[in-house]
Order: sequence, then C-alpha cells, then structure tokens
Amino acid sequence: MNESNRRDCNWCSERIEPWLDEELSAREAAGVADHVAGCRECAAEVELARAVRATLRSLPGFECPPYLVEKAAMAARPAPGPRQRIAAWLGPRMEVFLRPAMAAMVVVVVAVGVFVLSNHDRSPRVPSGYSAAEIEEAAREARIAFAYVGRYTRAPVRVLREDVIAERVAPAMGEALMESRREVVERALVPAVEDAVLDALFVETTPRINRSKKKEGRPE
Amino acid sequence: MEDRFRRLADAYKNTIYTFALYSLRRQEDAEDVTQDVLVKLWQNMDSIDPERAGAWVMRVARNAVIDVARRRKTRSAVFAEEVDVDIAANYAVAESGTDRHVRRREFREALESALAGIDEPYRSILIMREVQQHSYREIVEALDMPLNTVKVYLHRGRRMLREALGEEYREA
Repeated sequence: MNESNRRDCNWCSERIEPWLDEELSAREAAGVADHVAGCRECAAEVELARAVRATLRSLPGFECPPYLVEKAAMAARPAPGPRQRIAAWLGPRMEVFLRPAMAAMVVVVVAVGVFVLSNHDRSPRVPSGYSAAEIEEAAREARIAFAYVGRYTRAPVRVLREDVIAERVAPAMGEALMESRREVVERALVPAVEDAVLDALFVETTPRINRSKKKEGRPE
Repeated sequence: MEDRFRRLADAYKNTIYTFALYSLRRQEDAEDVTQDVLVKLWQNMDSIDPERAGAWVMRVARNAVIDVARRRKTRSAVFAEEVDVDIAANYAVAESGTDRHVRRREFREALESALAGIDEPYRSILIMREVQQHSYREIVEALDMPLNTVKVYLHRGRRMLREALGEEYREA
C-alpha cells in the first residue's frame, strides 16, 4: 500500500460510520464509496461496521424479574401511620367509621381530662395511715426544731462548732421530733429537717460572717 | 400515586433492566440498578414530566450503572473479583449448533463483551441507540448533550467496538 492509499484509508476510516448513517455531504459520500470500492481493507472494515450494527440491533431485550417492582414499591413506600394501621386492621368496610370514631374518642378524652382536673384536690398530700392532726403536730415540732437552728445560725460562726451542734441543736431537735409519731417523723420530716439544718449552717451563715467582718473593719 | 407508579414502572422496568444488564453483564447488579431506579421513580413521581419520563428513567439508570461500575472497580481492585457474565443465561431460545450459528454466537458474545468494556459515555449511547433503539431526542435529554455530540460519540463508539473486536472478525 503506498503513502497516498494509506492517507486515503485513514480519511475513509474516519468517515465509515457517518457514511453508513448517511450523514456525509454528497461529495464526501462519493469519495468514501470510491475508496471502499477499490480498497479491500476498507471494504472489510465497512463489512465489519455493518455486522456490528446489525448484531447490536438484533440483541434482545430482557424481562425484568417481576418481583423487582413490588420490592421497589415496598422500599419506597412510606411506613404507614397510626391511622393507616388502624384502617388496615378495621378493613375497608369499617374504614368509613374511622374518622367519626376518632373524633368521638378525642371528645371523650377531653371530657374526662376536664372532669379530673376540676375535681383535683390541691391540698398537700397526706401520707396514708396518719390523720391530719398527727401531721399538723409533727409539722409544729419541726418548726420548733427550725427555730433552734435559726437561733444558733445568727451567732458568729465560731459558735457553730460540732460540739455545740451536738450538745444543743441535736438534742433539741431530737427531743422535738421524738414527741411526735416516730414513723411520721422518720419518713416525712427528718430528711426535710436535715436538709434545712445543713443549709442553715453552711450556706446561710457565710454572708453573715462576711458582713460582720466588714462592720468590724477587719481585713478580708 | 401508586397506580401511576405501577404504570410507569411497568412501562420502563424492562428498558432499565436491559440497559443495566448490557452495561454491567451481571444479573445481580442489573437487578440492583433496576430497583434503585424504580425507588427513585416513586420518590420523584410528582416532579417527573410524563412526556419526558423515558429520558428521566434513562438518565437515572445510567447514573446508577456508573455508580455500580465504580463500586465494582474498587471491589475488584481489592479482591481481584471476576465479573460473571449473565447475559447468555438470559437468552430464552436455545441456539442451534451449526457452524454459522456458532460463529454468529461467538461474534455476538465478543461484541457484548467489547460493549461492556468501553468507556462512558460511548457505552450508554451505543446501548441506548443501537440495542434499545431509543430516539436521538430521548438520548439527548437523558444525557443532557447536544445532538451533534451524541452523534460523534456514537460514531466513535462503533469504531471503538470494531477496534476491540480485533483482526479475527475482519476476515469473516
């Protein structure tokens, strides 16, 4: 094959597909046809191009497995809400009653709520098994115990040594508490009194100490 | 909505599956792609123009195929995985054993293999245009490319297929 033919083959090879698609100008199409008629290699290339097209176009389509549509629908479908689940449970015949039934249920729930709230006893909760008089007595004794604590916490902090607390605060509280019903005191009042005592001793006294230092003109 | 989904799914499920199977040559991957596209079809039902549903489906299918091919490439790079060829198993009709038929079958298998091996967008354009015989308009919309570009890719793709087939088939 000479150089001129080789150049023609490259030129032709680039135009085989548009030539077969009839997309070339008349002049170019005639040039390709002339070259192919005289060149065995390019004629074989054209035959191969035709075979490729024919074979591609004869390739069959395939049937999608039928379960894929259902699988995709299941994957994409949003999860049913409570209303849909109830409707599915009731079935199509009963579904027409679902909306009125739900409305009636809401009315009933609201009415019950209003009734309960309007009859709610707002008085403090009394431990079961004890009379109001017993609870009142225990509360009075607790107030006395708080009074003792209050008296000592007004004094300078050095007074509130552990031995002082042990000698004065604790016996006074114990005495007051022991006079009431032990069970009531242990269960309902002791924790509250303990908390109050701790607060009074360690929180409430601190600002008073600082204030008294300033009054006396002591350096901080 | 469900009725509309089923109508569209029935209309396009085979198109998607065929496109995926010729692109990836493995039934399992083709099923994954088809399901993925159908799920997206459901999710985008309200925004799909019925006139352009075909182009939309093909665009999503092509993207799904590219994703699977990319994952497969990564997988095979790590595990030296071989790609199964499941297309032959999908041919319903058994072929006769004459020499001519055997040659034709060999040529077809070589062509399918070459088709799955060429790069994007040549492969998608060849499958859409030559195998599935979509219109140029659908391909242009699906790939969002100008018509002339699609035609140039189609010509180059066919030429690439011929080159991939080798000298053996030029003598035939």
